[in-house]
Amino acid sequence: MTERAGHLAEAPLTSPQKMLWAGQQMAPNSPLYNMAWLVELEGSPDTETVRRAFDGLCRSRDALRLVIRTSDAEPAQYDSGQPAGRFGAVDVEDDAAARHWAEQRIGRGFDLSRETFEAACLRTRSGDCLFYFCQHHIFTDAWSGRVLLEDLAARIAALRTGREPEPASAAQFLPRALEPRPIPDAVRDHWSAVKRNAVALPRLYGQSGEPGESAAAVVRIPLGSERSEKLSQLVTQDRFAALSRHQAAFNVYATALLAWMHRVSGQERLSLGTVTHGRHAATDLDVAGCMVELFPLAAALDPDETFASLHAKVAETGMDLLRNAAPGASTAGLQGGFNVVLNHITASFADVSGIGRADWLDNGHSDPRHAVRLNVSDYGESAGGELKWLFNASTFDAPRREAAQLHFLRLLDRFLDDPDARIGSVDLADGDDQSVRLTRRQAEIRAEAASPVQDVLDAFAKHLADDPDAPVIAGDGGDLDRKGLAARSDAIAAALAYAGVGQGDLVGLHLTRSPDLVAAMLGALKRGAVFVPFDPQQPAQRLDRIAEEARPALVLSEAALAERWAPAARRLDLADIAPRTAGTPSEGSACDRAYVIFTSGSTGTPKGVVVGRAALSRYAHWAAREFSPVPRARWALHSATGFDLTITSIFAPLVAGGQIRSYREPADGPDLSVLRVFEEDAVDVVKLTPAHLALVTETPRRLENIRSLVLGGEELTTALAGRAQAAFGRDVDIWNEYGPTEAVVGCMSHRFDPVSDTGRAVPIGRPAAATAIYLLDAGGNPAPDEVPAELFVGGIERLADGYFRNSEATDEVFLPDPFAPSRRIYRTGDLGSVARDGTLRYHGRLDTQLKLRGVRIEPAEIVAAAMAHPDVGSCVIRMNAPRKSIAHCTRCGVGTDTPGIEIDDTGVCTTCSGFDSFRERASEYFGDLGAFAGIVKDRARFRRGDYDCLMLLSGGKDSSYALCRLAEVTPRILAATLDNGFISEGAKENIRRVTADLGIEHRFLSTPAMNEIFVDSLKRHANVCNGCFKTIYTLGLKLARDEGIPLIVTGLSRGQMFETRLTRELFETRARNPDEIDDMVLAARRAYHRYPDTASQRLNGNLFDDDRIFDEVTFADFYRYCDVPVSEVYRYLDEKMSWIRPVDTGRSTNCLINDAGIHVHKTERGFHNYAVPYSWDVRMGHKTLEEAQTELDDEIDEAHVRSILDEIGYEIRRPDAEDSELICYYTGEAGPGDVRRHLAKCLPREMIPEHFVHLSRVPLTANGKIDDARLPAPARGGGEEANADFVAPATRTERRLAEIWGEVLNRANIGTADNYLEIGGDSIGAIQIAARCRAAGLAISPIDIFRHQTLQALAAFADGAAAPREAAKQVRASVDPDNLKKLAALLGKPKS
Amino acid sequence: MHETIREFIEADLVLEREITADEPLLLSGMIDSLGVMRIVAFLEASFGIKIPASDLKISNFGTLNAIAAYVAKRTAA
Repeated sequence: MTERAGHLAEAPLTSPQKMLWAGQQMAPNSPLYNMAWLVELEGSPDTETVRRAFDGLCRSRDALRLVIRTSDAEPAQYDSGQPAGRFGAVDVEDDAAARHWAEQRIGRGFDLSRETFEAACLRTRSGDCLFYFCQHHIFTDAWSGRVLLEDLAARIAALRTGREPEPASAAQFLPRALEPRPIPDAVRDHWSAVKRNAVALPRLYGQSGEPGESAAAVVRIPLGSERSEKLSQLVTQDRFAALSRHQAAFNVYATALLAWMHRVSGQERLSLGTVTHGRHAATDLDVAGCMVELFPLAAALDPDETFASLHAKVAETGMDLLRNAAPGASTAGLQGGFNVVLNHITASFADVSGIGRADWLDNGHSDPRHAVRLNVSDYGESAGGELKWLFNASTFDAPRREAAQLHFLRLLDRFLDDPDARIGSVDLADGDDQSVRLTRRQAEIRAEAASPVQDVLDAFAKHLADDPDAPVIAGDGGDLDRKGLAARSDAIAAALAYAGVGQGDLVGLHLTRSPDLVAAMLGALKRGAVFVPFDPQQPAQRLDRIAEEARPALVLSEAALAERWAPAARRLDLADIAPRTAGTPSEGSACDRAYVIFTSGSTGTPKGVVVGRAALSRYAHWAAREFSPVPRARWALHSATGFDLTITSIFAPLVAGGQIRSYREPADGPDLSVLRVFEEDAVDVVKLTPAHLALVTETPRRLENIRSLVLGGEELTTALAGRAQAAFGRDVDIWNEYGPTEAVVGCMSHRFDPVSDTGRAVPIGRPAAATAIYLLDAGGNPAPDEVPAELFVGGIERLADGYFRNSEATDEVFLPDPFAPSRRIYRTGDLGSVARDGTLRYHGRLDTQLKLRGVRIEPAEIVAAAMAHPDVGSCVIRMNAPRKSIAHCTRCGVGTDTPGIEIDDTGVCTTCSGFDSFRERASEYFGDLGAFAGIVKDRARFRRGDYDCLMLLSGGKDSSYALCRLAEVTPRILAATLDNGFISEGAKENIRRVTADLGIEHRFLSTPAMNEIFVDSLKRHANVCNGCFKTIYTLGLKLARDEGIPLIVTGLSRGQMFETRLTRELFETRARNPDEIDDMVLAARRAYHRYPDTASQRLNGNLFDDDRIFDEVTFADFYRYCDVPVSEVYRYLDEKMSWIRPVDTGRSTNCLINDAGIHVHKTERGFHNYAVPYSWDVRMGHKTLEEAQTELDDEIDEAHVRSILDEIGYEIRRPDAEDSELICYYTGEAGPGDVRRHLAKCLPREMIPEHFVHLSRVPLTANGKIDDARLPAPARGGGEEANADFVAPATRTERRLAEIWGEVLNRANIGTADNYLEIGGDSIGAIQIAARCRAAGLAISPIDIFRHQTLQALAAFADGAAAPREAAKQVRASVDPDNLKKLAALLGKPKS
Repeated sequence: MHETIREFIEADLVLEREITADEPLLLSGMIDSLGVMRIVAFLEASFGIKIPASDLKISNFGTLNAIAAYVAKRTAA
């Protein structure tokens, strides 16, 4: 403590200072926050004068004396009473040498506990005096620089005229830190809302938003007088005017920058960081110190956004920003929401007397979280403005920097020239961009198409002539040589002709994979017909739909399939076609169409894609050349016949003289033929989907024959390709083939290279022969390198003819080729980008990309990250669709909108089928009225007053009936009703009538805290009943004790009993008898009353100080001993009592606030809170299904509900309409928590799925694609996955660390597996933890907490660090520096 | 009203300097956009009006006279 003596004052860091402090901790040795100026002092003052002036400056300005203390938990600043830096004098040759010297010095780091600046007087040989001043940003900013240098110059001027400068009177910084201005609530609310709507960091030029190193590259672009003038002109227009030229110019730059971010990332919602000087009052103007603050400015771009319309949004949002830019209001969370910063600098030194040329020096670094920082120096029309870009060097290499500034200027210039131009219309790419080159390869395409391609039939005929005895088909269904296949296909062609199939007619192929399937395809082509596969694995219904669309002249089928589907069209069994000898001339092949393959259309109706003979032939020859590892390769025919992926495995070998090995699909069950293909290993090439590949990769094996894997149909990730390469060895080529059915199977390919393919997905490579590939942005312009845009495919004989009998759909996507007017292009709807080396990358579908909170999420990216986990086998990401259709249990009526409810194939819900398993045992819990009477009599022995029991009467039918029956047992009853302020008059009347009928005394209970309890209940449970029930029980217990009543009787229904206490687990052990269950219920009751909610806090008093009350007063649930249907209850009350069904609540309950509770529950939780108890009532036979449904289907008067909620003071929390959730399905050994933590390490927060569902196998469709319909819904809550991973701290260090984490993060139960970032830790917290650790004797620095994120790892590190230093070094060295960047990225991210 | 606004600006934004009714406050750079927002907050609190972003123009805030006229118009409505 002695070192504090003499300090004038100490203050915590201000909010902006804290962020700089944390940023510096993350990059301990980087000079990223060094702010330095080199200025020419006019009149060449002598060094001694400058020194004296500077000493005076230090005395006058506390910012030059402040240092930072870090010994306590939180860093603090205090006035050291002396200059916190040194003043040096240096002789240099000339200006250039001075600059060189300064640029060297600026890289020095400061130890902020004693040094925060460096000043130097540089004297050139010619006698000029230059002043160098470098200060850590934590005590300065650009404004302060000017304040200090202006003050210095004035002091020098005074000294030179022989005067002593004015004594210190300048405004000080420390008092502002000591007493920060309070932040108004409205401002806080504004920024909280901004943070809640935070957007994802844009991937500029496809680069991840993750921070890199702090090293930054500076690119300076003079603004030019022409631009300056145009800008001045523009802002004279009323719509671009603002409060000042500065603000008007800022709005223009911000608009252009957002437009740029949009165009080079494809993201529509964007946020950029803007710098405000933070000097709100006149008294702030002369302060030296860090006042500057960063605030986000967000905008959402519409598809047709113009510069002017975006400008209007920016101007409006900018006003909001300024209104709310209160000092200290910007938080780390807000600042994590952008990776692009715009700083519009207006202050210059030009007008400072005594200072000549002034340079703000670059330190070569920038905040690593900012990929791009644009400093616009714009001093108005006179001086030459400048755009100074600071590009993060690890994100923006030189070509990217060049592209970035060029693209920005193109957008800015278009804005200045034509503000009403669409932002999407600006052509950004130029001749150096690969996409432009792609549009220019027309001659190449023509040349590739010029060499003639043999028709598939001619090619096969040629091979037949060369060697008729060569085998061509083997495997399931028998072997055929070429002449055999020719004969069989001729026979089929003849049979088709005989059957009246004409040229161009459609022939359906309802056939299993076999030689006959191949022969039928050839036979159809030989006949001049068009074949249409009818995949026998597809459900009959779908085949019917296809048949309805296709209307085939005839369907070729086989006997074994006759049972499965009977086509409406004429059917011809292949077995009935007689064999014919080879060489019989076919009857011609004049038709230029080959096949129609039906794909699932987005409307639900299958869409037939018509492919011509020429296009099929061109594709088959290319595929055979491209993918065959050997001449005459053998291909496996194992995939679904209705899927165009399979076309390759048949026609590539046919045109190349190779062989087909067929693997017949099973009669039923999943088609896992691909497994057999790899077990047998009897072919050279296998074409398969990535889902197939994931399946076969699970069994690594040495492959003797298979040398080439061709992946198609879905995106191939590098993780999976890499795993496959490892599983099968480097000798196997893994080809990624891209192509929609409309572009004839495949139009691009890329051979996977595990060394150079390091991106998320394997590239889709380069165009196939004679194929045109264009990458065009929304404006139809070729996209710049690395920027995602839509893929278009064209070429010569490379596209399908169009959609079958649907010219409208055809015209929508088959468009004139803008670069080759005589041809067509197909609009794929796929997003791609082109790398600088010319290879294309696939980024998913434009239309199926998930949008979460307005941000595009690429599921493939999450998949790739998950697959990088060694124990994740495969992974599927889905967004839970809004619950469109709700299925209801046929037995109890509960719907799938209720969490945890699933309906099985027989229409029965999980609860009903579960109840079947313990119904028997549960029945033991219930008794009869005799037992009930026994209990009442037994308890009556302990009566201390007038009553045997207290009946809790709601006035509804159930409790009224119970009271009547109770009166048969004893007359000494006190009935009590909670008057919660919303009891209906009808119910009150009923209560009075029934108790009068029975001659029973009755009381209303009430509490002034009722509304408070309702609000608490709505907040906790989204209903009013929980609060009401607890109030009834508590007040009931009080009344019973006061009146000496030994028993409370409730009218709880059996459904409510099951809903609230009789869980399945209670009955799972046979040993549990009803007494044991009662004990457990009692234990639960004790805990229930002591749970600290509002009801307990307001009502308990000393009632539950000990457990005596539970002995004095016991409970009996009437319906435990009485099984009666609701119809009997009504009949009894109607006949015997003057009870009248209530009308004023709209249902047969008695409480008017109930509607409000139901409405809140439905709105906030998405389902009816009575659904579960009513389903139990049905299950127990108390209600019929119809009765329950009727009661649940009641309409709610929203206006009335709103008035009730207003009255009690509750605001409904409407779930964000966009607030969908991501679900991660995966296979493998990893636990859900493992996967979650793994993803948290490599993905931004908004991409971490909310749910993790483990599957033993991913369900696949017949085509080998993922079968969405069979993916299970995730369980709600996800509690078990969080708790399942809890491991209690074990070692001394772990326990101590857990305590410290708990204190700082304000969390209980920290386990060793908990990850610092995941449980809400940030950098300030890390600094506090490190300080407390040091106090506890644990050697941990803030950065260690980010390097060793789990408690266990940190504890291990701390224990290791206590060992010799060498060991500690090794631990550090083993940390992957990349990981650290990712962590830093997470740090600033908004928390969900 | 004139005087209230003048006092606020002189005391809080331009550090005890006297401003005249027609002196350009914004175009001269005397008060920047953050400063205008302080004026806006002050006017909203003092005169019980809500100033929409669309009203934030030089014609309404360029001089002391303009501000006073704007406030008069808004409070009269």
